[in-house]
Amino acid sequence: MRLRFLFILFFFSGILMVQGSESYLGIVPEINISYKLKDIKFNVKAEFFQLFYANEGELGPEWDYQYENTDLQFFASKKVNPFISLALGYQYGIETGDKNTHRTIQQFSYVFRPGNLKWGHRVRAGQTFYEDEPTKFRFRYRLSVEIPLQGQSIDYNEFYVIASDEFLYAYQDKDQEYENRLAMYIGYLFENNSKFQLGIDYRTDLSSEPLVHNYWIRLGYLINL
Amino acid sequence: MKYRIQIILSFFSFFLAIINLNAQEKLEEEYKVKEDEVPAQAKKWINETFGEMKGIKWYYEKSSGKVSYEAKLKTNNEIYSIEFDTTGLIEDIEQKYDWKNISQNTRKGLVHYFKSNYIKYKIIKIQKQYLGTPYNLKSLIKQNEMEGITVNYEIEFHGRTEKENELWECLFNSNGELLQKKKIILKPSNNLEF
Repeated sequence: MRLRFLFILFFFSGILMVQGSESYLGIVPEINISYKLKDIKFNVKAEFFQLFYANEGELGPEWDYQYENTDLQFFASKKVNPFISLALGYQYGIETGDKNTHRTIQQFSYVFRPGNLKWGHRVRAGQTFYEDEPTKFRFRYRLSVEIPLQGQSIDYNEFYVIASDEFLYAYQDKDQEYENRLAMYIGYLFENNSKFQLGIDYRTDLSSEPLVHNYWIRLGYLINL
Repeated sequence: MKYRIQIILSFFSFFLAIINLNAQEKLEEEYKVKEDEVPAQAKKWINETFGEMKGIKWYYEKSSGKVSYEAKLKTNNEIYSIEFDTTGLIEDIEQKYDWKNISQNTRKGLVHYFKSNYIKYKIIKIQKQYLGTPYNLKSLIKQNEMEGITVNYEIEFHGRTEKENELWECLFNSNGELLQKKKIILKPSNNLEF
């Protein structure tokens, strides 16, 4: 039932894509490593954005491989209690064509599990520094839910689904941007606490005219050392 | 010499066992099973006690090496988890419970435990546990008959001490005295956080 609702949601987001006149499709392999040292958890993440389809309206659809960018993220987080964590992070963005960026990130996250589902709230603030542009300030909120597919909780060697929606607001100088990111993945938990996730991350740039739809197929491997 | 080593080793393993008792971890594995995979005796007990019911969820559970079947059901606004062994013999009934419904005497004992062991604590979930023979447990549900029934409380909470801030599952008797303590190890949530 829960799954059916999520699929319907995705179906409607597909209709939105047809209405908008700009859309892109790409793939993002991702590796995410967490390591706990005493009270502090360190997290390193690398994401590689690659486009292979673009439909820019009048030009029509085009299949062409294009390497977009790589994001490298480093976080240090501390638990306030078993459910609430505060984290500070840094992101180095390697851009093709453009100059590389630096971003500082502050994060609050709250994981709770009423019943069988695990929910995560995440609030993030970020400041991106460019070499020749004013600093961009971003605020974002994400709600995620992890749904076990075999039983009441996700045990080792079991599949799960994770769905999330994130709203982003950004301003740079006098420009404002809004973006929505709806994602759904199927995941698998291994006995060594690592997770493999495969799914789609559908991003809508709400401030552009016409709307821009980005579909990213994501393959993630999350390791816990 | 050989004996001395043996004595030292057994002393050491005894010491380890004590540590282990203090910091037992809750390791549980479960998955959903179809009704026809459940021992017939377990289904019979449910049927005789609750009558014909729909919407019962069955789980196969492995907890610290122990295997059992668990039925989850909701009736008259009460949520029950009923555990059976692999032959279908009932082991206990757990009922989701509110703090305010616990008797004053039990609450006093519980508050004493929490306040004397933790700087800060927060209760997350309470289940009232009933132990007894299959017959007594049946009478408990059907006629609210408490004869032959032992009542315990299983409480999930997070408690902060000077050294740690963890999630626990503890079992208390009806005087609010601690019987068993397990640390709950949550599976990683890095996909929800990062």
